[in-house]
Amino acid sequence: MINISSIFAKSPFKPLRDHMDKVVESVIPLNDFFEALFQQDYSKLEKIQQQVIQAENEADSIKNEVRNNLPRNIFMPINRRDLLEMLDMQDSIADVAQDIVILLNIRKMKLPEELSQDVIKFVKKSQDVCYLARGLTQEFGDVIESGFGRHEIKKLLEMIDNVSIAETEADNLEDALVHRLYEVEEKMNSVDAVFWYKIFELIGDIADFSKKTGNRLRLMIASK
Amino acid sequence: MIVEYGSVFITLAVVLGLFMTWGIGANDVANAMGTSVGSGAISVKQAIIIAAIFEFSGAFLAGGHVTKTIRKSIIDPTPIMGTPEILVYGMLSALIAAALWLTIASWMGWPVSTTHSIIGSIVGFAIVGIGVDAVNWSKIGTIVLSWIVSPLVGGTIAFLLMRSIQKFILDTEIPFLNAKRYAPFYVFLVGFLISLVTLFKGLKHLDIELSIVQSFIFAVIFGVFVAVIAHIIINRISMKLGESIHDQFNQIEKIFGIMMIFSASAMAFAHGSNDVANGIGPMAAIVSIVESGGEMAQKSNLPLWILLAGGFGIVLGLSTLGYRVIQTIGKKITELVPTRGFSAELAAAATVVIASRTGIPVSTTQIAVGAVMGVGLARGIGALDLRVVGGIMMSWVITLPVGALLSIFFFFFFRGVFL
Repeated sequence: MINISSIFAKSPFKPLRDHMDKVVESVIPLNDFFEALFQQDYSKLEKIQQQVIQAENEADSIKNEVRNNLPRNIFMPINRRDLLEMLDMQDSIADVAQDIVILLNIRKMKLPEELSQDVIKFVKKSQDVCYLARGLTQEFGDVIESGFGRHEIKKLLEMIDNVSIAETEADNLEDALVHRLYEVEEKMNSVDAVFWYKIFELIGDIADFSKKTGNRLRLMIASK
Repeated sequence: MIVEYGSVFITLAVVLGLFMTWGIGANDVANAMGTSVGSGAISVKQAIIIAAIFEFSGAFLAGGHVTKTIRKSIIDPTPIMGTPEILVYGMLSALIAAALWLTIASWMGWPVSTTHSIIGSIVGFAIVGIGVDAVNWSKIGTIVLSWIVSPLVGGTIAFLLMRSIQKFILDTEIPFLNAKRYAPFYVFLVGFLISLVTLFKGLKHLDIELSIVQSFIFAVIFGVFVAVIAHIIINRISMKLGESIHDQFNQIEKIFGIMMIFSASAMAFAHGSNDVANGIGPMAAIVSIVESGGEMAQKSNLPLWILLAGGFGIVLGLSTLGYRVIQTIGKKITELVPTRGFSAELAAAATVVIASRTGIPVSTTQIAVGAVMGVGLARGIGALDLRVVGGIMMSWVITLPVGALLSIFFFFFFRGVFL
């Protein structure tokens, strides 16, 4: 007998949302991590690192599951490649979060005190961009439910624009921080200084990949 | 010959016919009702109750047309007027062949259509037992063409329905209120369409004959009746002012969950009206030859008890095994929400019921698959596996010759036993 159920493949959209939730889980403790670093509470660093690595691993396994369930002859309301690229962008956020905590847990670097508050501010801004991107995946659920209705798409596109705006703000914070680091770098251990530039870049990447997640989503709902 | 073994033939025919309808009830019904259960609109128990009532009504009220086609229109028995037992052996062989093939196929989990099996089997014995010319090839051509066209029609209707739901309800500023506003209209469509097709010149076997106007009026009355019922039930679903779109969508799915009770009923009715014939068509042919003492009275009417028996067989299959099959299938279809399920189900029901009204035996499952694809094309479903479509094509290519070969085998077997 032809079983009607065999035509239904596993929808990738719920796992896409679950994946983003895991990614956000890996980003949430970042501000605490930097606070702990500046307060030299190193046992806390270790604890947060474990948390982040676990969330990143879980995100990875969701990502692999989505990929495994999407052979080429699956018919979807969106372009398959756009979906996989969006998934990759989301995943990069968790990768970066993991890179940050691992690097700083090995190189427990100090930073001139006058910069630390700005770093926390920058981290929080990047986290906010990531949280906004998570909101996109939730709104995307409504777009699908509405059958890609114009109203819901318009709302989602506005939200994507907001993510871009927030990312620019994070960029500006990064630029300012780099300038200030440059001013004080002579007083610092030079290897530390180089790595702080690197860390700023990574924090910026969290916002950047969040923005790119939005851009992939834009392609996904626009094309086809 | 016919008189001598008459009761043996009838017993065999009834047993095999019941076995076929039992199989249809156990397996195929699940395909017809699976979308309802899978979308969470109704429970398995409710599905069984709805299916029992409407499969039976479909078989009894509207099952005669396809039965007539299978019984009389596929083969022309004129060349064997003198030896009517050949037709009896043939129809028995067709029943056994189809039943056996379906049993093997379900055992192996292959996608096989009951309709294709029975048509393949009948054509098989006719070619060998009577002659190539005995097969009404133009009719077969129409039937085979309908197997290609009907899923496309089902898909197109489903696509248009889904689009209309998007346009009038989902993609508006006030989707929940619009859902409430338009829901009774869609339910009217369900009741109107099914009853019109059934009533218009369709109830001759109950000595009821209605003109176009009468049928139309009754269909409108019935449509309004079910729409009012739906309206009353749906009105109980309410929502607070200023609820978010997300919550509104959840409430809309609840509304369509109720509407799916109506579309599921329509689907069960359509399925009963089309698929019962696969079991009772050959059975009816045998019974009429035996009862007329070997005369192949092409004009004889279908006895009511045969339709009743067919309906009974389906309900029996439902209640013995169908429960489990529906449960299994329902669990696998969790990706379908009621708005989508309703579109697919109504489209499939409409297509099947129209086809069966014209006496064309179609595959309910393939039409249902077509309808689901149509909803998918309207960007309504997360992910569909296109490989299944290939599987359906393959089952086509295999089922027709296998059914034919098996039935040829049994034909020679019967001829050997009874000669």
